[in-house]
Amino acid sequence: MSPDQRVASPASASAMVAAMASGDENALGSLYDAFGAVAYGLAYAITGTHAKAEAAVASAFADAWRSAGAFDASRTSVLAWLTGLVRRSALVQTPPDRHRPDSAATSGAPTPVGRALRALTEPQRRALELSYYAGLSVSEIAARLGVPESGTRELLRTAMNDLRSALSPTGTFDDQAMTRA
Amino acid sequence: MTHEQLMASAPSYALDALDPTERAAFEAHLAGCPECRDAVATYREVAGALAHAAVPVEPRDAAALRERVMREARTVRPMGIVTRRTPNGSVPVRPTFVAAPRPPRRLVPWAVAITSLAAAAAFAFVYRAERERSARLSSELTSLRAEVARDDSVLAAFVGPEVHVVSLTVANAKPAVRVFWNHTSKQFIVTSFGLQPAPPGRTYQLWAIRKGQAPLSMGTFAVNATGRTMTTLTVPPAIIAGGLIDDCALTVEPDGGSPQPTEYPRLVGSWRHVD
Repeated sequence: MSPDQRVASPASASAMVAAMASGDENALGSLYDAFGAVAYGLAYAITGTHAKAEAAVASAFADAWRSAGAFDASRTSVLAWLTGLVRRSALVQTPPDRHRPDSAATSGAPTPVGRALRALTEPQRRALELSYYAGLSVSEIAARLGVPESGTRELLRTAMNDLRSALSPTGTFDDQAMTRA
Repeated sequence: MTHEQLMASAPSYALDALDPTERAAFEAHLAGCPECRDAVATYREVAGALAHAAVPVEPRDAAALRERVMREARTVRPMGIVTRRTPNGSVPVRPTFVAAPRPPRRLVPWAVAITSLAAAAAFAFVYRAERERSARLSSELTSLRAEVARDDSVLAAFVGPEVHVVSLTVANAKPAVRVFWNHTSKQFIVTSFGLQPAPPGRTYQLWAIRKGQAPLSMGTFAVNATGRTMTTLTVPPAIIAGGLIDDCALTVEPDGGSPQPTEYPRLVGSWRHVD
């Protein structure tokens, strides 16, 4: 998984998933070669161990292989779909009370989204990390941060809006733009 | 709650962070609000992009992990590839449901026989050593027989000449779901063990498959926290009208079930007669 293998254009990634849906195992290999690195980084940031990250990634790609036929390229990107599967698999690997999101690992990448995450206010970033990397609900984050639930929802909303503005001034999301250092 | 108030929950929803009651309220609104659906789709893309904020980490053994990914995928895909012949050649189409290879026959009969022998030996020992307790044991046995008799009505639903059964499984794994089809009472009895409960807002749905035809819903069911259920479903008239069915498949669908499956089957199996 060298860095130049990490990026697939949205169209080629969608084509891989479509080929998977028709039973093309090589397409699964191509999808893994294109997204395996980001999947592993995410799984490791959530689980904190290689063994659990490996299990989460294998489980997520198995889910992708199984549900490729339900993927709808008009509604979601391959990146959002696949990382959603990875995130769920990784959260399942780690009991909720064990999640200790480490900001150095979860937002330290020298990518546009890493920079955008580091540019958030501290409460925004903490709320988002507890949600995204620890899988906590609004009420759990509120309890952890000592703020009301309405305030927690607002932290998540403004954080997501700030990220959206930073990443996609044009309103579109492009995996190649996400990974450009 | 107003549209604006609900809209403020869209980012939390996209992060799977809403508590169950809030999620239910938001989903009810989402069904009729294209603006909120668009917002959720956009926030899901933001969430997907967040994966690129994590510091890249190299796996311990990249080649072994790739091999594991491919190997595990093969164990969950219970599908065959269906191609349709056209004048221009063979064109892959969305596969119809095809049963997974049956797992190797398990050694349960042996286990049962060994257990029975052990129980018989133990009973003999007890009988010889504690003859004076035999009257009480006999009384307990009578009581147990009465209980078994009371369960006859339940047992009748599972066995008999008019019962078919299907074990739903993935290759090389224990069956997680068995469905008994009692033709006399026109009931499906769904049993499960070790089946992970469906996520909030979603339900398990069973499908009757006749080769070459669209799947027919057999009904929906839920499992308890330990993955077990025994659910009785009335066999839909459309299934009765069509006679025997070949295969059975399990999917996870939105609450209330779907007219047609919206995902590939998680488990599949072929019907057989109870023997």
